[in-house]
Amino acid sequence: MDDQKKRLLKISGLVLTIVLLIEGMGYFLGWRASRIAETARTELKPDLLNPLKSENSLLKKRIESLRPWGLYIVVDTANNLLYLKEGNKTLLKTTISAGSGSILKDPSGQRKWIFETPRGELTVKSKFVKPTWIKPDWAFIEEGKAIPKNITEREEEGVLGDYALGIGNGYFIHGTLYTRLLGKNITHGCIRVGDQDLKTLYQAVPLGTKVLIF
Amino acid sequence: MHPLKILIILLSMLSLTAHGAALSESDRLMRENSLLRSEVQLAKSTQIYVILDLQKSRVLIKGKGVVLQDLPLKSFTTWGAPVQPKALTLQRKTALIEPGREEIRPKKSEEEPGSELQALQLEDMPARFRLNFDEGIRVYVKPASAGLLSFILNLMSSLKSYLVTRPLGTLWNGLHRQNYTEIVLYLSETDAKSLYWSFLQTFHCLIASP
Repeated sequence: MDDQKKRLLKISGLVLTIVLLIEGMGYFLGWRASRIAETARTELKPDLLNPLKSENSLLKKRIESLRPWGLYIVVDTANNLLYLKEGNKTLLKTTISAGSGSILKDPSGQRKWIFETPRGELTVKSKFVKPTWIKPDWAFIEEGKAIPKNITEREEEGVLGDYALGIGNGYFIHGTLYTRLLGKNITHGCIRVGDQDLKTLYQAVPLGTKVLIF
Repeated sequence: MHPLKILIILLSMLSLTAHGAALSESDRLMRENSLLRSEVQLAKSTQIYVILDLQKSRVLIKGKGVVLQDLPLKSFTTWGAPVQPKALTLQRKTALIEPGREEIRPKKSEEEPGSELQALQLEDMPARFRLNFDEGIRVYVKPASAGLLSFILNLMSSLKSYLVTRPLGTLWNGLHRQNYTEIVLYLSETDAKSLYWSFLQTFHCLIASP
Protein backbone atom coordinates (compact mmCIF):
# COMPACT_ATOMS: atom_id res chain seq x y z
CA MET A 1 0.00 0.00 0.00
CA ASP A 2 2.85 2.35 0.98
CA ASP A 3 4.70 1.50 -2.23
CA GLN A 4 1.60 2.24 -4.23
CA LYS A 5 1.22 5.63 -2.51
CA LYS A 6 4.88 6.45 -3.16
CA ARG A 7 4.54 5.48 -6.81
CA LEU A 8 1.41 7.60 -7.14
CA LEU A 9 3.19 10.54 -5.53
CA LYS A 10 6.14 10.09 -7.87
CA ILE A 11 3.89 9.97 -10.93
CA SER A 12 1.95 13.04 -9.72
CA GLY A 13 5.21 14.90 -9.12
CA LEU A 14 6.47 13.97 -12.57
CA VAL A 15 3.23 15.04 -14.26
CA LEU A 16 3.23 18.32 -12.31
CA THR A 17 6.86 18.98 -13.25
CA ILE A 18 6.11 18.37 -16.94
CA VAL A 19 3.06 20.64 -16.77
CA LEU A 20 5.13 23.29 -14.98
CA LEU A 21 7.85 23.05 -17.60
CA ILE A 22 5.41 23.35 -20.50
CA GLU A 23 3.52 26.24 -18.87
CA GLY A 24 6.80 27.92 -17.95
CA MET A 25 8.05 27.63 -21.53
CA GLY A 26 4.80 29.13 -22.83
CA TYR A 27 5.00 32.03 -20.41
CA PHE A 28 8.69 32.52 -21.19
CA LEU A 29 7.96 32.72 -24.94
CA GLY A 30 5.17 35.26 -24.31
CA TRP A 31 7.44 37.34 -22.12
CA ARG A 32 10.24 37.14 -24.70
CA ALA A 33 7.90 38.23 -27.54
CA SER A 34 6.92 41.35 -25.63
CA ARG A 35 10.58 42.05 -24.68
CA ILE A 36 11.69 41.74 -28.32
CA ALA A 37 8.97 44.18 -29.38
CA GLU A 38 10.05 46.55 -26.61
CA THR A 39 13.72 46.57 -27.60
CA ALA A 40 12.80 46.94 -31.28
CA ARG A 41 11.11 50.26 -30.58
CA THR A 42 12.68 53.19 -32.32
CA GLU A 43 13.20 56.67 -31.02
CA LEU A 44 12.69 59.46 -33.52
CA LYS A 45 14.70 62.65 -33.31
CA PRO A 46 12.60 65.46 -31.78
CA ASP A 47 12.64 67.40 -35.08
CA LEU A 48 10.92 64.46 -36.81
CA LEU A 49 8.06 64.32 -34.31
CA ASN A 50 6.31 67.46 -35.53
CA PRO A 51 6.14 66.39 -39.20
CA LEU A 52 4.71 63.05 -38.01
CA LYS A 53 2.10 64.85 -35.90
CA SER A 54 1.14 66.98 -38.92
CA GLU A 55 0.89 63.90 -41.13
CA ASN A 56 -1.35 62.20 -38.58
CA SER A 57 -3.71 65.16 -38.41
CA LEU A 58 -3.80 65.23 -42.23
CA LEU A 59 -4.69 61.53 -42.26
CA LYS A 60 -7.52 62.19 -39.77
CA LYS A 61 -8.83 64.91 -42.09
CA ARG A 62 -8.53 62.50 -45.03
CA ILE A 63 -10.73 59.98 -43.17
CA GLU A 64 -13.23 62.75 -42.39
CA SER A 65 -13.31 63.66 -46.08
CA LEU A 66 -14.33 60.11 -46.99
CA ARG A 67 -17.59 60.47 -45.01
CA PRO A 68 -20.71 60.72 -47.17
CA TRP A 69 -21.51 64.25 -48.25
CA GLY A 70 -24.93 65.71 -47.43
CA LEU A 71 -27.67 63.34 -46.35
CA TYR A 72 -27.00 59.68 -45.77
CA ILE A 73 -28.88 56.73 -44.29
CA VAL A 74 -27.55 54.41 -41.58
CA VAL A 75 -29.27 51.06 -40.95
CA ASP A 76 -28.59 49.11 -37.75
CA THR A 77 -29.80 45.59 -38.59
CA ALA A 78 -29.15 44.27 -35.07
CA ASN A 79 -31.46 46.76 -33.39
CA ASN A 80 -33.75 47.30 -36.41
CA LEU A 81 -33.21 51.03 -36.54
CA LEU A 82 -32.81 53.44 -39.44
CA TYR A 83 -31.23 56.87 -39.15
CA LEU A 84 -31.34 59.69 -41.66
CA LYS A 85 -28.22 61.75 -41.01
CA GLU A 86 -26.42 64.81 -42.21
CA GLY A 87 -22.88 65.02 -40.85
CA ASN A 88 -23.16 64.10 -37.17
CA LYS A 89 -26.78 65.33 -36.95
CA THR A 90 -29.59 62.77 -36.83
CA LEU A 91 -32.60 64.09 -38.76
CA LEU A 92 -34.75 60.96 -38.42
CA LYS A 93 -34.60 57.82 -36.30
CA THR A 94 -37.16 55.13 -36.91
CA THR A 95 -37.84 51.47 -36.20
CA ILE A 96 -37.58 49.14 -39.17
CA SER A 97 -37.58 45.45 -40.00
CA ALA A 98 -34.41 44.01 -41.50
CA GLY A 99 -33.52 40.58 -42.89
CA SER A 100 -34.39 37.44 -40.95
CA GLY A 101 -31.27 35.46 -41.78
CA SER A 102 -33.51 32.47 -42.54
CA ILE A 103 -32.82 29.99 -45.29
CA LEU A 104 -35.12 28.81 -48.06
CA LYS A 105 -34.22 25.89 -50.27
CA ASP A 106 -35.68 25.24 -53.68
CA PRO A 107 -37.41 21.81 -53.48
CA SER A 108 -35.38 20.85 -56.56
CA GLY A 109 -32.32 21.24 -54.33
CA GLN A 110 -30.54 23.43 -56.86
CA ARG A 111 -31.03 26.83 -55.29
CA LYS A 112 -30.79 28.28 -51.81
CA TRP A 113 -31.57 31.75 -50.48
CA ILE A 114 -30.32 33.35 -47.27
CA PHE A 115 -32.58 36.24 -46.37
CA GLU A 116 -30.10 38.73 -45.00
CA THR A 117 -29.91 42.47 -45.42
CA PRO A 118 -26.65 43.19 -47.23
CA ARG A 119 -24.05 45.00 -45.12
CA GLY A 120 -21.70 47.73 -46.22
CA GLU A 121 -22.04 50.90 -48.26
CA LEU A 122 -24.94 50.92 -50.73
CA THR A 123 -26.51 53.72 -52.76
CA VAL A 124 -30.08 54.81 -53.45
CA LYS A 125 -30.29 53.88 -57.13
CA SER A 126 -33.99 54.26 -57.82
CA LYS A 127 -37.14 55.80 -56.30
CA PHE A 128 -40.71 54.67 -56.85
CA VAL A 129 -44.17 55.94 -55.93
CA LYS A 130 -46.85 53.24 -55.47
CA PRO A 131 -44.34 50.53 -56.32
CA THR A 132 -45.38 47.21 -57.76
CA TRP A 133 -43.61 44.18 -56.41
CA ILE A 134 -42.26 41.89 -59.08
CA LYS A 135 -42.23 38.70 -57.08
CA PRO A 136 -39.01 36.75 -57.36
CA ASP A 137 -38.88 32.94 -57.58
CA TRP A 138 -38.36 32.49 -53.84
CA ALA A 139 -41.68 34.22 -53.08
CA PHE A 140 -43.56 31.52 -55.03
CA ILE A 141 -41.48 28.72 -53.55
CA GLU A 142 -42.13 30.03 -50.04
CA GLU A 143 -45.86 30.20 -50.78
CA GLY A 144 -45.80 26.67 -52.14
CA LYS A 145 -46.93 27.87 -55.58
CA ALA A 146 -45.65 27.15 -59.05
CA ILE A 147 -43.26 29.72 -60.53
CA PRO A 148 -45.11 31.56 -63.33
CA LYS A 149 -43.62 31.98 -66.78
CA ASN A 150 -45.48 35.20 -67.52
CA ILE A 151 -44.07 38.33 -65.81
CA THR A 152 -47.54 39.85 -65.30
CA GLU A 153 -48.32 36.97 -62.96
CA ARG A 154 -45.41 38.08 -60.80
CA GLU A 155 -46.78 41.60 -60.25
CA GLU A 156 -48.35 42.39 -56.89
CA GLU A 157 -49.73 45.81 -55.98
CA GLY A 158 -49.83 47.45 -52.58
CA VAL A 159 -47.54 45.18 -50.57
CA LEU A 160 -44.51 47.50 -50.69
CA GLY A 161 -46.35 50.53 -49.31
CA ASP A 162 -46.55 53.95 -50.96
CA TYR A 163 -42.86 54.42 -51.75
CA ALA A 164 -39.74 52.36 -52.41
CA LEU A 165 -36.07 53.25 -52.62
CA GLY A 166 -33.96 50.78 -54.59
CA ILE A 167 -30.52 50.15 -53.09
CA GLY A 168 -29.27 47.64 -55.65
CA ASN A 169 -29.32 43.88 -56.26
CA GLY A 170 -33.10 43.72 -55.84
CA TYR A 171 -33.06 45.18 -52.30
CA PHE A 172 -35.39 48.03 -51.38
CA ILE A 173 -36.26 50.32 -48.52
CA HIS A 174 -40.07 50.11 -48.67
CA GLY A 175 -43.30 50.21 -46.69
CA THR A 176 -45.17 47.37 -45.06
CA LEU A 177 -48.64 46.05 -44.38
CA TYR A 178 -47.41 44.47 -41.17
CA THR A 179 -46.48 47.50 -39.05
CA ARG A 180 -46.83 45.45 -35.84
CA LEU A 181 -43.78 43.47 -36.93
CA LEU A 182 -41.56 46.55 -37.18
CA GLY A 183 -38.62 46.14 -34.80
CA LYS A 184 -38.20 42.47 -35.65
CA ASN A 185 -35.87 40.82 -38.12
CA ILE A 186 -38.45 39.25 -40.38
CA THR A 187 -37.83 40.41 -43.95
CA HIS A 188 -36.27 38.66 -46.92
CA GLY A 189 -33.43 41.19 -46.95
CA CYS A 190 -35.31 44.40 -47.76
CA ILE A 191 -35.75 47.14 -45.17
CA ARG A 192 -39.35 47.77 -44.14
CA VAL A 193 -40.24 51.22 -42.79
CA GLY A 194 -43.49 52.60 -41.35
CA ASP A 195 -45.68 54.70 -43.69
CA GLN A 196 -45.04 58.21 -42.34
CA ASP A 197 -41.28 57.79 -41.95
CA LEU A 198 -41.05 56.22 -45.40
CA LYS A 199 -42.73 59.30 -46.87
CA THR A 200 -40.25 61.59 -45.05
CA LEU A 201 -37.38 59.47 -46.28
CA TYR A 202 -38.64 59.39 -49.86
CA GLN A 203 -39.08 63.16 -49.93
CA ALA A 204 -35.72 63.90 -48.30
CA VAL A 205 -33.21 61.68 -50.03
CA PRO A 206 -32.11 62.17 -53.63
CA LEU A 207 -30.79 59.47 -55.93
CA GLY A 208 -27.17 58.71 -55.11
CA THR A 209 -27.70 58.99 -51.34
CA LYS A 210 -25.31 56.68 -49.49
CA VAL A 211 -26.79 53.94 -47.29
CA LEU A 212 -24.49 52.46 -44.64
CA ILE A 213 -25.80 49.14 -43.37
CA PHE A 214 -24.24 47.24 -40.47
CA MET B 1 9.51 25.29 -2.10
CA HIS B 2 6.29 23.58 -3.12
CA PRO B 3 5.95 23.30 -6.94
CA LEU B 4 2.51 24.94 -6.82
CA LYS B 5 3.95 28.00 -5.08
CA ILE B 6 6.66 28.21 -7.74
CA LEU B 7 3.98 28.03 -10.44
CA ILE B 8 1.91 30.79 -8.85
CA ILE B 9 4.93 33.08 -8.45
CA LEU B 10 6.10 32.33 -12.00
CA LEU B 11 2.67 32.97 -13.51
CA SER B 12 2.10 36.20 -11.63
CA MET B 13 5.59 37.52 -12.51
CA LEU B 14 5.33 36.65 -16.17
CA SER B 15 1.75 37.78 -16.60
CA LEU B 16 2.84 41.19 -15.37
CA THR B 17 5.86 41.45 -17.63
CA ALA B 18 4.25 40.23 -20.85
CA HIS B 19 2.08 43.30 -21.30
CA GLY B 20 4.98 45.51 -22.36
CA ALA B 21 5.98 48.91 -21.15
CA ALA B 22 4.30 52.19 -22.01
CA LEU B 23 4.98 53.48 -25.52
CA SER B 24 7.26 56.43 -26.06
CA GLU B 25 5.92 59.53 -27.83
CA SER B 26 7.60 58.64 -31.13
CA ASP B 27 6.39 55.04 -30.97
CA ARG B 28 2.88 56.18 -30.21
CA LEU B 29 2.92 58.59 -33.16
CA MET B 30 4.31 55.97 -35.53
CA ARG B 31 1.71 53.42 -34.46
CA GLU B 32 -1.02 56.04 -34.83
CA ASN B 33 0.34 56.86 -38.28
CA SER B 34 0.21 53.22 -39.40
CA LEU B 35 -3.32 52.80 -38.00
CA LEU B 36 -4.55 55.97 -39.70
CA ARG B 37 -3.01 54.94 -43.01
CA SER B 38 -4.75 51.56 -42.73
CA GLU B 39 -8.03 53.24 -41.81
CA VAL B 40 -7.85 55.50 -44.88
CA GLN B 41 -7.69 52.37 -47.04
CA LEU B 42 -10.61 50.76 -45.17
CA ALA B 43 -12.72 53.93 -45.29
CA LYS B 44 -12.21 54.10 -49.06
CA SER B 45 -13.80 50.66 -49.45
CA THR B 46 -17.52 49.90 -49.33
CA GLN B 47 -17.06 47.49 -46.41
CA ILE B 48 -17.88 47.99 -42.79
CA TYR B 49 -14.83 47.71 -40.51
CA VAL B 50 -14.17 47.50 -36.80
CA ILE B 51 -11.71 49.43 -34.66
CA LEU B 52 -10.76 47.87 -31.38
CA ASP B 53 -9.46 50.95 -29.58
CA LEU B 54 -7.88 49.71 -26.37
CA GLN B 55 -6.42 53.15 -25.69
CA LYS B 56 -9.88 54.63 -25.35
CA SER B 57 -11.56 51.40 -24.17
CA ARG B 58 -14.05 51.25 -27.01
CA VAL B 59 -15.06 49.08 -29.94
CA LEU B 60 -16.09 51.17 -32.93
CA ILE B 61 -18.03 49.80 -35.87
CA LYS B 62 -17.32 52.10 -38.78
CA GLY B 63 -18.09 52.56 -42.45
CA LYS B 64 -16.67 55.32 -44.71
CA GLY B 65 -15.02 56.86 -41.65
CA VAL B 66 -18.40 57.26 -39.89
CA VAL B 67 -18.80 55.74 -36.43
CA LEU B 68 -21.89 53.57 -36.83
CA GLN B 69 -21.80 52.03 -33.39
CA ASP B 70 -19.73 52.83 -30.33
CA LEU B 71 -19.48 50.00 -27.81
CA PRO B 72 -17.70 50.94 -24.56
CA LEU B 73 -15.48 48.31 -22.95
CA LYS B 74 -16.06 47.58 -19.28
CA SER B 75 -12.48 46.30 -19.05
CA PHE B 76 -9.92 44.31 -21.01
CA THR B 77 -6.71 42.31 -20.65
CA THR B 78 -3.95 41.61 -23.15
CA TRP B 79 -1.27 38.97 -23.30
CA GLY B 80 1.61 38.09 -25.58
CA ALA B 81 3.17 39.69 -28.61
CA PRO B 82 2.10 43.26 -29.36
CA VAL B 83 -0.42 43.67 -32.18
CA GLN B 84 0.90 45.20 -35.38
CA PRO B 85 -0.85 48.45 -36.34
CA LYS B 86 -2.36 47.19 -39.58
CA ALA B 87 -5.68 45.89 -40.91
CA LEU B 88 -6.40 42.37 -39.69
CA THR B 89 -8.96 40.03 -41.20
CA LEU B 90 -11.44 38.10 -39.10
CA GLN B 91 -10.84 34.47 -39.96
CA ARG B 92 -13.21 32.74 -37.60
CA LYS B 93 -15.95 33.64 -35.16
CA THR B 94 -16.78 30.87 -32.71
CA ALA B 95 -19.08 30.47 -29.73
CA LEU B 96 -20.01 27.54 -27.54
CA ILE B 97 -23.61 27.78 -28.70
CA GLU B 98 -23.79 29.38 -32.11
CA PRO B 99 -27.09 30.72 -33.39
CA GLY B 100 -28.44 28.50 -36.15
CA ARG B 101 -30.31 29.74 -39.17
CA GLU B 102 -33.94 28.69 -39.40
CA GLU B 103 -35.01 26.96 -42.57
CA ILE B 104 -38.28 28.21 -44.00
CA ARG B 105 -40.79 25.53 -44.86
CA PRO B 106 -42.89 26.42 -47.88
CA LYS B 107 -46.42 27.40 -46.82
CA LYS B 108 -49.34 25.08 -47.26
CA SER B 109 -52.31 27.23 -46.30
CA GLU B 110 -53.11 30.93 -46.56
CA GLU B 111 -51.33 32.50 -43.59
CA GLU B 112 -50.17 36.02 -42.89
CA PRO B 113 -46.69 36.36 -44.40
CA GLY B 114 -44.06 36.84 -41.73
CA SER B 115 -46.11 35.39 -38.92
CA GLU B 116 -44.39 32.04 -39.17
CA LEU B 117 -40.88 33.34 -39.79
CA GLN B 118 -38.48 32.04 -37.21
CA ALA B 119 -36.00 34.87 -37.49
CA LEU B 120 -32.67 35.43 -35.81
CA GLN B 121 -32.90 38.32 -33.36
CA LEU B 122 -30.21 40.13 -31.41
CA GLU B 123 -31.23 38.26 -28.23
CA ASP B 124 -30.35 34.96 -29.93
CA MET B 125 -26.72 35.99 -30.34
CA PRO B 126 -24.11 34.68 -27.89
CA ALA B 127 -22.46 37.12 -25.48
CA ARG B 128 -19.37 34.88 -25.08
CA PHE B 129 -17.41 34.21 -28.20
CA ARG B 130 -13.97 34.15 -29.76
CA LEU B 131 -12.69 36.07 -32.75
CA ASN B 132 -9.65 34.58 -34.51
CA PHE B 133 -7.64 37.00 -36.60
CA ASP B 134 -4.61 36.44 -38.77
CA GLU B 135 -1.16 36.90 -37.16
CA GLY B 136 -2.15 34.59 -34.28
CA ILE B 137 -4.41 37.11 -32.60
CA ARG B 138 -7.33 35.83 -30.57
CA VAL B 139 -9.94 38.13 -29.10
CA TYR B 140 -12.25 36.71 -26.45
CA VAL B 141 -15.46 38.66 -25.86
CA LYS B 142 -17.26 38.17 -22.55
CA PRO B 143 -20.10 39.93 -20.76
CA ALA B 144 -18.96 41.85 -17.70
CA SER B 145 -19.90 39.92 -14.55
CA ALA B 146 -23.47 40.60 -13.51
CA GLY B 147 -24.70 38.00 -11.06
CA LEU B 148 -23.18 34.86 -9.57
CA LEU B 149 -23.40 32.65 -12.66
CA SER B 150 -21.71 35.22 -14.86
CA PHE B 151 -19.01 35.71 -12.19
CA ILE B 152 -18.34 31.97 -11.97
CA LEU B 153 -18.22 31.61 -15.77
CA ASN B 154 -15.80 34.52 -16.06
CA LEU B 155 -13.64 33.08 -13.26
CA MET B 156 -13.50 29.69 -14.96
CA SER B 157 -12.72 31.36 -18.25
CA SER B 158 -9.88 33.36 -16.66
CA LEU B 159 -8.45 30.20 -15.10
CA LYS B 160 -8.58 28.50 -18.50
CA SER B 161 -6.84 31.49 -20.01
CA TYR B 162 -4.03 31.63 -17.41
CA LEU B 163 -3.48 27.88 -17.17
CA VAL B 164 -4.20 26.69 -20.69
CA THR B 165 -4.67 29.11 -23.58
CA ARG B 166 -1.96 31.67 -22.75
CA PRO B 167 0.97 29.32 -22.11
CA LEU B 168 -0.06 26.56 -24.48
CA GLY B 169 -1.25 28.91 -27.22
CA THR B 170 2.04 30.81 -27.03
CA LEU B 171 4.02 27.57 -27.05
CA TRP B 172 2.03 26.05 -29.92
CA ASN B 173 2.26 29.20 -32.05
CA GLY B 174 5.94 29.54 -31.09
CA LEU B 175 6.60 26.04 -32.42
CA HIS B 176 4.97 27.15 -35.69
CA ARG B 177 7.05 30.36 -35.69
CA GLN B 178 3.96 32.47 -35.16
CA ASN B 179 3.13 35.08 -32.57
CA TYR B 180 0.34 34.58 -30.08
CA THR B 181 -1.70 37.45 -28.74
CA GLU B 182 -4.71 37.10 -26.51
CA ILE B 183 -7.06 39.99 -25.86
CA VAL B 184 -10.04 39.58 -23.53
CA LEU B 185 -12.79 42.18 -23.83
CA TYR B 186 -15.54 42.64 -21.27
CA LEU B 187 -18.64 44.40 -22.58
CA SER B 188 -22.21 44.72 -21.38
CA GLU B 189 -24.24 41.68 -22.44
CA THR B 190 -26.23 43.62 -25.06
CA ASP B 191 -23.09 45.20 -26.52
CA ALA B 192 -21.35 41.81 -26.67
CA LYS B 193 -24.35 40.40 -28.58
CA SER B 194 -24.37 43.44 -30.84
CA LEU B 195 -20.70 42.91 -31.63
CA TYR B 196 -21.35 39.24 -32.48
CA TRP B 197 -24.15 40.30 -34.81
CA SER B 198 -22.23 43.09 -36.52
CA PHE B 199 -18.81 41.50 -36.86
CA LEU B 200 -18.97 39.35 -39.97
CA GLN B 201 -16.27 37.07 -41.25
CA THR B 202 -14.22 38.88 -43.92
CA PHE B 203 -14.57 42.16 -42.03
CA HIS B 204 -11.33 43.97 -41.32
CA CYS B 205 -10.28 45.15 -37.91
CA LEU B 206 -7.73 47.61 -36.60
CA ILE B 207 -6.44 47.15 -33.08
CA ALA B 208 -5.06 50.19 -31.28
CA SER B 209 -2.97 48.72 -28.47
CA PRO B 210 -2.89 50.46 -25.10
